[in-house]
Parts: sequence; structure tokens; C-alpha cells
Amino acid sequence: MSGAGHDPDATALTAADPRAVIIRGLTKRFGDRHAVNGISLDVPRGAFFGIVGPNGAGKSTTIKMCTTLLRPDAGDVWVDGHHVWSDVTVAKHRLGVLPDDLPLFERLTGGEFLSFLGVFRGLAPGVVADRSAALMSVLGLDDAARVLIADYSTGMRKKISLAAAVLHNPRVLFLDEPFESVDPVSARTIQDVLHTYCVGGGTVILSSHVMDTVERLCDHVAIVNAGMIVAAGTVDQVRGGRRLEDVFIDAVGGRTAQGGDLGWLGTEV
Amino acid sequence: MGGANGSAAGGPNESVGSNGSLTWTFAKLKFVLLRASLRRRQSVWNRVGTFVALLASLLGAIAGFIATVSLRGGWSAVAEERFLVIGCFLVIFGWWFGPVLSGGSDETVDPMRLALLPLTRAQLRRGQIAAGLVGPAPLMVVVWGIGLVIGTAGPWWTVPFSILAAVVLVLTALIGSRAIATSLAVLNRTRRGGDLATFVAVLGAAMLFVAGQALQFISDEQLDTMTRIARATPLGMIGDAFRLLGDGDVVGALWRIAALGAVAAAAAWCWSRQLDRLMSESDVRGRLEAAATISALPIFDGFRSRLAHTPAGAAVAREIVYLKRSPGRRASMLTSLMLGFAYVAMLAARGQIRDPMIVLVSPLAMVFALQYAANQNGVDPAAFWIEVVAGPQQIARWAGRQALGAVSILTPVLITGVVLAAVSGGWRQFAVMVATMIGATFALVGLGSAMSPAFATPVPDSGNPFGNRQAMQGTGCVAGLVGIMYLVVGAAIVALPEISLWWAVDNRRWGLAALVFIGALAAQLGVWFASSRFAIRSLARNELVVLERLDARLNA
Repeated sequence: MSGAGHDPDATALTAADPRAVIIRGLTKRFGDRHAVNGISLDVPRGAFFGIVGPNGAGKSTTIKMCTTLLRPDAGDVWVDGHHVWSDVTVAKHRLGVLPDDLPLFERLTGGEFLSFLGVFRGLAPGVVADRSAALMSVLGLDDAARVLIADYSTGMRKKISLAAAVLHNPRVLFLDEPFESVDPVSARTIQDVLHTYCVGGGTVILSSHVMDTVERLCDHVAIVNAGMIVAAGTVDQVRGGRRLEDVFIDAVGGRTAQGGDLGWLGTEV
Repeated sequence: MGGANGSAAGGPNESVGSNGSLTWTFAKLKFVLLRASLRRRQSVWNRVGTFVALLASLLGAIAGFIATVSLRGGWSAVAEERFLVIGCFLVIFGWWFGPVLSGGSDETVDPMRLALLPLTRAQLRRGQIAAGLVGPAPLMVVVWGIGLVIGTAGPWWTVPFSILAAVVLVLTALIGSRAIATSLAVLNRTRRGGDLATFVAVLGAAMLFVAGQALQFISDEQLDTMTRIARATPLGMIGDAFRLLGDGDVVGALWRIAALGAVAAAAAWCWSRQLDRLMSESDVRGRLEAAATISALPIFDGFRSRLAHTPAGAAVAREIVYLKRSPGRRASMLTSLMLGFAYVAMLAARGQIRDPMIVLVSPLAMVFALQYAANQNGVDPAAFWIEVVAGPQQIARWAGRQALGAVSILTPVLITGVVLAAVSGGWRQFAVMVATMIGATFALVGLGSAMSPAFATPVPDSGNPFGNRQAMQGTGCVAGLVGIMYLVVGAAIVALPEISLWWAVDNRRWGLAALVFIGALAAQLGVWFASSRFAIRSLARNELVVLERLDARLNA
């Protein structure tokens, strides 16, 4: 890491800066392998920003480094004007995260979970109660408010995690594969919440490998492959009149599986 | 929202409330999590287990309180010194290493669950300490501390110093425990580090176990030596401080309290550093390392390819490969082996190491390995689920688990037997022991397989060898009670034939010896056959019931 303030663009950051997130030279190695290799990116305020890439491209690792969950080997990240590694506590106030694999408090009910989280985040009890009730209602978790999280389905876990991520009304929301393993009804609910958040001026950054979802939801997109950004801009700029999926396949190098060794597949045993 | 995000009325306060209220919230969180263990939605066994654990802690607290308060009269100076010095040493050491192996999933002290919260490290540490003081076991130790203050009270002006000593004792135990757990979690992020962490934790637990058991057997001279050694360490010094305060020696006591305080400060420093690393470098175990790990096991690959031609062979191979690769399974097996060896070593250390008869106690080395045999279906619920879905016959899965059960039981016994026979020359005893153990192993794994469908306790496989998702839920307690029942029956299965056979051999009544051997073997194989038949039928009938019981999410 280069430390806070080394980037001339970043030092000029103010609340009025049009960029909600600035990423510069972000790098992470696992052993000999570059999981993320010098990624730089500007995310405008109010954007619905999609990071797409094949499995293992470095999407989740990038999000972890942007949200203080993983220390980068090199590079810097500013969220809402705050360097996430030298200003960790303030940065955590400004961002919300829906991680792919963060453990939840399994033996709290959904209501208890949000309540404790609100207190830990310094919200007034009345505010926590109001927001929790509203979020649980919108996310269709009313009946589950008194059920242990251990008994939640995958979709319910995603939704309670989203409620936890937005409870403190962050300025930037990071979502790692938010629609993975989620049924269409729950996915639509989550999309509605995110849309409301974005319309209100919040910035959403989500990772996904479902092109249709990204194309439909996002106004900006970055294609990541092998830890590097291979294309970035508005969705229209990146797809250049084609389908995003076709651009993506071309960018990351697609391959097809036809016959050959799989000739046995689906045949009568 | 928009521009008003965050700073709007009702937005987050970046100072995150007062430290006092946050600390209190941590304690409250722990209490709510404990209360969840008694919820009606939990299974009856979970609630019974939690109730038994609470009752045991209450009885322990009362017994400890009475013992410590009784120091006020009737104890000789020597006995009092031994009790205080060794007792304080064991309480602190036990608190350091005990939770690592028995209750690693205390959610309030798992920093990863709090990684996204805007808490400073100091707030997190204070909160974790507060949460660590809530629960039956910590409160039991606090009650003991109060008992110590009362029991060792000297002149009135020493009482504040006694209270200080008790507070330092509890805090050192708690902070040290968190420092060790966090350091081991940091080590566990890589495979090699995980193995080292497992070794350190198991070694600590084994030392504690041996020390605790040894107290029951050792002579006065050995006890004095132990007291001298313990008194030379800060952990034992605090016990000495209580004794000195009882005599009015405040200065002598204070520097001993300071010594333990220095340990607490060092532990706090270490904890802080490791906490920082753990929370910001959660993911150093990259995908390539996992792939390399799997491909770097040619021995097991070869072993697997030879075995895995049949469903039963594949089940056996999978069990053994998992034993090697799963950190949780490795830790569990290593713990069982070390504690088993420690148990026998402790008996041998009583001066009987040269007595050939010591070889006959070798089967004690398997005591802790029996936990696998008694919970064959529960040690890896995910594997059970996959096998049910994949659909091999129950007999194949039963065979795989029986094979690993037999390996778990026989390995420590044979190693121990060979070592003891080599040292004592008791090769005749070794032959008798092995002759008995062949049938006994069948009987034990058979019995275990019959018990497992009914009492299967889920122990989900986890990358964290110290993770125990049954912590604070009571299931661990139920598993313990079932395990004790199994041990009693197992002791009869092993000991009765062994003693009888040795008597016949020692008296050179070879005909009787042959009769005992054949009779015992037939009985043991009969137990194995009947139990196994019951187990296979029970699994066939109740497979989905067992699966539901083992479902990792429902039992999380």
C-alpha cells in the first residue's frame, strides 16, 4: 500500500467529489498467483456499478480489499473520501457490505441481529427499531423476525445480510454476488431495495457473473479477468452495441464444450 | 438518502457511542446467545445438555467456593500452599487452552463476525473481555475468586489487595485465552500454520490434562516439586500472593501480582497485534494452495485408487483421506492420540514403568479415540449427506466408518503396547493384550455403529480445527454423557477378557487360556455382528431422520 494521500487525485477528494470510490494499483498475491493485479478504478457517486468476471477473476478479493476485510499487498482505496486502511473506523461507517461468506450470528433472531448491529454502529435505539421494522417488512422477513438465523433459508440469509448492510444508511454499498443462490422473488425484492437506495443517491458496487442481471441493473460496468480490468465504463460504452455477454466472452476468452469426451453425457446407461 | 446519507438524523455516530455502553452490549449479546440455547425450538437433547452443563457449573462453583472459603481454617500451611499455587496455575492454564479445544465458536468472541463494524481495536477488546465473563464457566471461576478472597483474608488492610489479586487472576486468564485463540486462528489461515496451531493447542490441553490427573496419584514429594515449579511461574505466583496476603505480607504479594499483571499486559499486546492481522488478512489461504494441497498427496491418491473400486472401498478411502486433509478431523484425532498416550504415560510415571504388567493398561490409550467410534455418522455431516444422495448401500458407508473406527482404536493401543513392552520386557502381556484387542476392536466399532444413528452428534467439518459449533448448545454435553456410557461398556468388553486371559496364561493353564480366548473372541464378534446388523437396519430405516439430525444448518 502506498498510504493515504499519496495519490494526487485522492488528496483533492472532498464531499463534493463526483467519485464515491477510488481504487489505485490494488494488488494481492496468494503464493505465486496474482489474485488481483494492479486494479485502478473510479466509481462515480450514485452509480450502480457492476464488476463482472469469470470464477476466480479476483472480484471477491477486490471487494474484500475495498471493505477492510483483506489487506492488499499494494495499492490504495478511498471510500467517500476516506482511505480505508488509514481511516478504517470512519470508512466502515461510510460503507455497507453484503459479503459472500461472512459468518452471521446463527443463534440470534433476525430482529435481535439487526438490533445489536444498530447499537454497535452507534445508532439510537429508536432509529434501529424503525429501520429494522421497515427493512424486515420490505424484505419479506416479518414472520422471520423472531426466528433464529440458523433456521433461515439461503435467500433469507442474503436478505438479512442486506438489511444489516444498509441499516446504518451507508454512502457506498458493496455486494459480493448478491443474487447467487437466491430465488427470483427474493432477487427481485433485493433489486428493488438496491434501486431505491441508488435513486436516493447511494452508490452500489456489485460483483456478479450473471451478465443479464448486470446489464439490466447497472449503469457502469468493469470486466475483470485474471486479476486485471480488461474493460470499464458505462454499460453502453463497454458493450458497444452488442450484448454484454458477448463482449464478456470475447474479453475473457470463451470456450465451448461440444461432444468429444462428453459424448456419454445424457445417453442411456 | 443521497447526500444526506450517513450524516442524516439517525445516521451512524462515528464515535460509536460510549465505551461503557458498547462493552455492556457485548455482554448482553453473549447472554442472548446463551439464552438461545434454551429456546423451545432447540431439540430436547440440546436443552437437556445445556441444563446439565449449567447444573455442573453451578455445582462446580459451589464446590469450589466451599473449598476456597474453607481455607480460613483447618488447612495445614503446606496443604494450603499446594492448593493455592497449583490450583491458581491450573485455573489460568485451563482457561487458556480449554476453550480452544472445547468451545472455539463462542460467537461474541469471534472477531470475524464483527469485522465490518466500525469498532476500534480497544473497543473490540473491552467488549470481548466483557463477553468472556458471561457464561457458566467464567462465572464459576469468578465465584472461586470470591471464595479465594474470603478464604485467604488476612488483616483488614490486605483485603483490597486480595480483591486486586483475584481481578488480575481472572483478567489474565481471560486475556491470555483470547490471545491464544486469536493467535491460533491467525496461524490457521495457512495449512502448515494450521497444523502448528493444532499441535500447540493439543500440547497445551495434554499438559493440562496430565497435570490434572497426576494430582490424584503423585506422592507428597512429587507434589512439592510441582508446587515449587508452579510457584516459580507467574501463574503459580498469584496463588502464593493470596497466601502471603493472608499472612499480612502486602509487599511480597504485590510483586507477585505485578508478575502476573505483566503476563496479562504481554498477552494483551499479543492479542491486539494478532487481532489486527486476523481482521484485515482474513483470506490468505488462496485457491491455489488448496489445489496444491490436494494434488500433493500421491500416497493417498495411490491408496485411494487401490481401494476405491467398490462402494465400500470408496467409503473407507474417503474416511481415511479426510482424516488426513480435514483440519478439524486431524485436530480431533491428534488430541485423542496425545491424551490417550498421556493417560498411559501418567500411570507409567508412577514408578511402574519397569513392571511388565503395565503393558496390560495399554488399551487406556484408546479412551479418547473412542469418540469417533461412538459418533461415526456425526463426525462429518456433509459427507453423510453426500453419501445418502449418492446412494451407496448403507453397508458400504458402515464399512468405511468401521474401518476408520478400528484404525482409531488400534493405533494408539498398539503403539503404546510396543513401547511399554520394550521398556518393561512384558512381551507376554503384550501378546495377551493384542489377543484381547482383536475381538474388542470389532465389538467396540460395532457397538459404536449401533449407537451412532440414535445419538449422532453433528460435528461439521471446518477449516478451523478449533471450531466447535456445538459450543454453548448442550449437544456437546449430551455427546459426553453418551460417550461415558459407551466407555463403561467398552471397559467391560476389553478388561474382562484381558484379565481372565492373563490369569490363565500366568498360571500356565493353557487349555483354559484357549477357552477364554475363543470364548471372548466369539462373544466380542457376536457383539460386533449383532450391533452391526442393528446399525445397518437402523440406518436403512432412519436414514433421513439421522440426516435431519445431522443437518449442519439446523444444528448450527
